[in-house]
Amino acid sequence: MAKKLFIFAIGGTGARVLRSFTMVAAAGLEKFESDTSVIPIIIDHDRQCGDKDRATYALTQYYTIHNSMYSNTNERNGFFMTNFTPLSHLGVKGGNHAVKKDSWCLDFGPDGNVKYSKYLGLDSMESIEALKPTEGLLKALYDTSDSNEPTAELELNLNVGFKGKPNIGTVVFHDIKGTKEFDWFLGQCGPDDKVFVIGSLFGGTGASGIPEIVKAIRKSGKPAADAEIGAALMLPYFDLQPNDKAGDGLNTGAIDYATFNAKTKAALESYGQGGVDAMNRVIDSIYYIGDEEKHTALDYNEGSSGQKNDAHVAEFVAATAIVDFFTQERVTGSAYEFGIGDTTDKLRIGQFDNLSKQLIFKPLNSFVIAMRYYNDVVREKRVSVNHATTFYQHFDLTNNLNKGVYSQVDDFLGVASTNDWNFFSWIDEMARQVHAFAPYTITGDLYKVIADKPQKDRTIMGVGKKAATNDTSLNSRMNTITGTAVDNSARSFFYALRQLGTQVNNNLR
Amino acid sequence: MWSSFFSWATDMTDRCSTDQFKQFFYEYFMESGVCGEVLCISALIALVFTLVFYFGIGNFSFTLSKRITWIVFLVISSVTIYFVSDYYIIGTDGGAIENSTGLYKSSYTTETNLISPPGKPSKKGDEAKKIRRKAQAYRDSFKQDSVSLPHDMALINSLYGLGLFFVFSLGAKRFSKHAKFIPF
Repeated sequence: MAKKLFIFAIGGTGARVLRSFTMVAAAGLEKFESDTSVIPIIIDHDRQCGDKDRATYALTQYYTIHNSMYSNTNERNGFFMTNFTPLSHLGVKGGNHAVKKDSWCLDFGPDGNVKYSKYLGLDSMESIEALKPTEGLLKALYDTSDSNEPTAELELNLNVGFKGKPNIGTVVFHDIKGTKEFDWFLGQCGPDDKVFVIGSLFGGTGASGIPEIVKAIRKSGKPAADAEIGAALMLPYFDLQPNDKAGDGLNTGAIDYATFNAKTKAALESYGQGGVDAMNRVIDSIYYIGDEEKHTALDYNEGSSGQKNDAHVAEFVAATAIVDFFTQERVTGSAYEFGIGDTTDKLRIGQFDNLSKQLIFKPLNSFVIAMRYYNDVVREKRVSVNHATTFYQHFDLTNNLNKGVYSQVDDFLGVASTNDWNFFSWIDEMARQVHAFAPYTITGDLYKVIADKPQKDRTIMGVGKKAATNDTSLNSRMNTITGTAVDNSARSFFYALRQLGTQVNNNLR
Repeated sequence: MWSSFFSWATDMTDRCSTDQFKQFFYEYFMESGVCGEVLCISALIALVFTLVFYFGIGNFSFTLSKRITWIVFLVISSVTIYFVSDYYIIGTDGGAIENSTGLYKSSYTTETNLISPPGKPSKKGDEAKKIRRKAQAYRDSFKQDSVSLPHDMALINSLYGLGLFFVFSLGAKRFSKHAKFIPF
């Protein structure tokens, strides 16, 4: 089993998948114990991309929680046990400060308002007679429309990415090889490590970035070249609303969702070309993930902070592809297409296969049950709890809540709802999509916390068997578990919560 | 020895040394061991209530495992101790030693001993009648509730019960699931 998993999340879609993976990993996945390092590397030329920001906030908070709970310990059965590590922290103690410290992002390429023509050096070509033919060729290859035009290419401002133009992205991504961050990655990635690349094929950044990064690794001449590489290629799974923001200086109407399928086909076709160097051959495992039905039409945004799309089940599935890739033995030349039999409006856990249920939903169900209980009962967002009860006193929650790890977990979950990237928002966003994925309920009592398995009390006049997800049953079970707690630390508290979630999930019928 | 647990807060000492029925009081409250017995009753009742709270409620009912429930148990335990102690100290008058309990039984014994002291000739006639009248007056004083000593002792005993319930709670709480931190 490899000890390092590098995840290149490219573009807004890559960032959203990474956010989903962070949420799933928080549940404590089997084979993702804390001695395994997961190194997320977000690559998006759109420096202010809202999706990228949300993914980095989630990662940073996860990282803070993990380090607070498990510093210098090897955790094999806890929430937040997976060790997400910034690229700069690998290798030498204290990190490599030549690489942007503590950053989850690999920034490269032109900074600021740089047009593609300037990036290509078109200005300098004009003054050099020998380069005039090249200049002419470039002007013939690329659209020369003004930057405000939707078709602009040479005059395209690169500050918010490539606006769905992979032909431009490919050129810019070609320069990633020379960055100190990428060199640092190549130095840290060994032949037994794994690399997973995520991006969409229907946009600009992902479609162009995936082949360039894979090529840069395979042709690096370093041990990393032999690492197992997997890729989640995101096929179209959403539409865009018409551009109603024309004239705001950013949204020119350059992205047309009607071209998503055509661009995807073109990308897939190009990945199959090149003989032994074809993308399809140099990647060990390719996961094709998309959604042909019931697309949500998202607000039109070409990038920047406005590009903040709600989480979607396709991104969740891509996150599960990361788990599948990392936990499977190396099988070169594998291609996986995610399929689901039933396409009812709301996807539920029951529609997933048994492997997904075992690897993903078993820990995730436990996490959701535990965190709903934590939010609703322990944090008293829905009901109050007796502060003299065993678990409350044992972990000194009167004094500890709102501080330290508890506060960090609150932030991650969205207990105070002060951020838009949190865990509960993530679940809610997926449930709000037209093709909704609603495996959990995050409001109301806990009887339907697992939507597929609604529970009810079997009592008459309050006497009888209460449901496993009844608040009192949960409190009672939490007290029992607390009796076996090794100490009264926050780590033990969340370990007890994990036991609670696991026990209850196992009891649900 | 046990009487000192009550004599500090009651008129027991005065009753046993200067009261007109001092012989009766002394033999029952100082000599008979009733003080130790009511203390045992207090401990037993407090223990039963503690066990019911911690091993019963504390292990089987999350909802009832609260400080307020503990306080209710404390109060009920104390009240129970008061009434049981009071009843035990006073007892019942059956008209003869074998049919009586508590201080009535003791009074008949004292009466018999006063009339027929061991190793001495029995008192007869007016002297014996006088003793019988005095013994009856002693018993009547309790029936008329004109002597508060048993009630005072029961009250003190119930206070000891409070303390014992608290002490037993400290020992028993660790064995409960939901009430490990009750009372604190």
